[in-house]
Amino acid sequence: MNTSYLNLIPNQIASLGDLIVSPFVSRYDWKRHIEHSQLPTAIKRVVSTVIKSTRLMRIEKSQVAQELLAHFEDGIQRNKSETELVDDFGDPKVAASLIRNSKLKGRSMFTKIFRGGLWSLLAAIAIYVGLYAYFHAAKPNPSTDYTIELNANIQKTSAADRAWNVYRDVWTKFEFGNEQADSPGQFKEIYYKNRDSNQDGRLMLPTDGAQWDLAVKKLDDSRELLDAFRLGGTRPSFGFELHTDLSQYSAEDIAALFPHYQGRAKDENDFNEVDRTLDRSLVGILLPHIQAMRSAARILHVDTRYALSQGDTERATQDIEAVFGMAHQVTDSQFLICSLVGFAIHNIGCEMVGESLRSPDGHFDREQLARIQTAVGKHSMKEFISFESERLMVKDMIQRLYSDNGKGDGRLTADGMNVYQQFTSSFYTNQPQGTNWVEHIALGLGQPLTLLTAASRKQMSDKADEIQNLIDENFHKPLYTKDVVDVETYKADLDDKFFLIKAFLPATMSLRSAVFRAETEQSAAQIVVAAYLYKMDNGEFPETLGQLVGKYLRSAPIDPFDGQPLRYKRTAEHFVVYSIGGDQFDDGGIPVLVSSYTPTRAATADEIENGNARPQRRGEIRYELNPSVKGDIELWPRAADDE
Amino acid sequence: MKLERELMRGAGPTAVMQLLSSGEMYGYQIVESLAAHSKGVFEMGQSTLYPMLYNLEAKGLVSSTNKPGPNGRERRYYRLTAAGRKRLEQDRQQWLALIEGLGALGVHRSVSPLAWKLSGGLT
Repeated sequence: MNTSYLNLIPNQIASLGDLIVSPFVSRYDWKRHIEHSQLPTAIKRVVSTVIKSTRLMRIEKSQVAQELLAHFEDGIQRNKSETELVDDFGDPKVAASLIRNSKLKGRSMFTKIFRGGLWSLLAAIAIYVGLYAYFHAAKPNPSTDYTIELNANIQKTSAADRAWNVYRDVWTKFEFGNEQADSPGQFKEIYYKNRDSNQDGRLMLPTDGAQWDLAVKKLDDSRELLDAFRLGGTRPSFGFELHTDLSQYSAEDIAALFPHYQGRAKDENDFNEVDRTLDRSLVGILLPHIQAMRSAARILHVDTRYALSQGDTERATQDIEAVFGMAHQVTDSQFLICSLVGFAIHNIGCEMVGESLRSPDGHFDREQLARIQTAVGKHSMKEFISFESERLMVKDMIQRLYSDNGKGDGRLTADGMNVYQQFTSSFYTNQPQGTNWVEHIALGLGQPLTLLTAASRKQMSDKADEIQNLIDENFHKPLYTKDVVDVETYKADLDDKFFLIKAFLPATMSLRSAVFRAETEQSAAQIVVAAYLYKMDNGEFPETLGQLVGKYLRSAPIDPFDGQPLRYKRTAEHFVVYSIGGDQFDDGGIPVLVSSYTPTRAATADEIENGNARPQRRGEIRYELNPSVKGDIELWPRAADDE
Repeated sequence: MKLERELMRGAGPTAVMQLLSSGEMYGYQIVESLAAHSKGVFEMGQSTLYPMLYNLEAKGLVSSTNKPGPNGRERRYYRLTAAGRKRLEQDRQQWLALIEGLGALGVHRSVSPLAWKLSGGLT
């Protein structure tokens, strides 16, 4: 470049251009300048030593080199000897140090910022590379098989107490585990088909004409399966040991529960390491029997109607007993989803009891009523809910995401983060993995930074234990007690470094409503059966709840909203049972009215007056304190649930 | 006689600025002029000159340009800036005051040639 032209360019721009291109342009190659000069070798060596020792930028070295070469050339031109010039110049190292200091002082602010930024960038890259290597060096080493702990209780159960031994073969025969919509195991015939809709509706009733006939035929054709349900339903345990790896199930179990499973050999080829890790974690455990048991309860519900229409109260009693047994059986595995399905099945049982007692065909004898009463109250609803498997699930996930230093601690690993991302992606967003390579790279590059932000293995484990303890301390506190720690808010407010807990520990406290609902429904059913027993002995229903306590009820069932006995009122022909509800005020059994348009809120006075209000349905009721929910919860007589 | 290092550090830049106040010069020319006009007092190790020039340039007291000399070879020429001229005037006043102070103490009997040069003798 022409020098005079260079001088016309503003300094900053020239500096920027020179700074950027100087490492690549031969014009700034100071070694070449020295090499090409005509100076004696000794002088060249001095210049070279000085320049090298300055440790300046290449462009600065080039400038200084040219000036020193000109200096010595001037000396030679004035007939100075090589030795004189070298001596007059002085110590090259001292010169280099002085030149360096003066040049550093002379650098423009722009150059300082540019260089500072460059060095910071290089330092950041170096730190990142180190972090990346450190992050990828650690591998998770899952050493505990939590399925052993998970199955411990089931393993203690004798073969004779396991319902699965009764269900399994007949289950396979009737394709009960086949989840395909057109499978005969789906028992579509028991659901009322609305002509205006393709959706399966409520359970079939004897008044449904031709559709009822088809349902009845299906039940008759499936007599062997229903017998197995009735027999198995009386056993104390489902007795099904869970495995993360399907290949660990017996061929008979596979045939019954996973009829479409093609075998591990085929799947292995399709699985990557992340899938395999998830597949083998407790999170990946499949529970196909849970929803199947719910279907079984519905089948028995319809069969109860069928039995009563045939005057077969014994079969109806057995159906009811089996459903309550099934409700308890599904909670064997102690996953929260099992508890929820257990409550649902128990509720089906309560509905069957109420419906059967009110039925004109419900001529149960005393012994049958007593058996029904026993079945209703056999298990505390608190027994149904357990957080044990959720706790194990978090522990298992920690061991699959973190390395293990042998002392209970470790750090987050790359493999672990891939598993976590796959999990959150599949469970929360349902997005397929690996389709967006930009996102894939961004996620991959960002992963090592989690080492700086995520909790260590020990911190994560300790926090999980702390929250578990909080849940244990607060979950079963009475509903009317106000000093309940809001664990969900506590969890939501946790630092993001406990991301695993936020993702894996479910919103357990919100399940309190489900437990109180199940307990209250159970209590009401106990009162109702006791009242019918009372009537059998005394010719009419009791005037007060107190008359049932002793011979018919061990104690008066409690209203969860105030700890007092559930409200019982004798009517002309019958009786009502109700709870005072979330406002903790006894409205005499008048139900909560909700807006027909927006059932999530209480109806306004205008809506009530204009007929745009309706009683709150059972499924809509929240068992929680709420002064704004005016009205009570009707428990008996109960309308059929909205299926 | 050569100056002690510490004295050179203080007086050297003033001497160089004084030389440049008469016009632009390149490195070797400055070395020669200092030796010739200061009777050897400012005969410095040449390696010291260039850092001194870079420092003066960093402070904005001198500026430099690459251009061909009379023999056609390219050299870096230094010239005094306006700020340099102002600074030189201040230095000159300070040196005079110093010399007067030293004289009053009897360190020397008369104004030295150096003081004369610094006070404008070379201009």
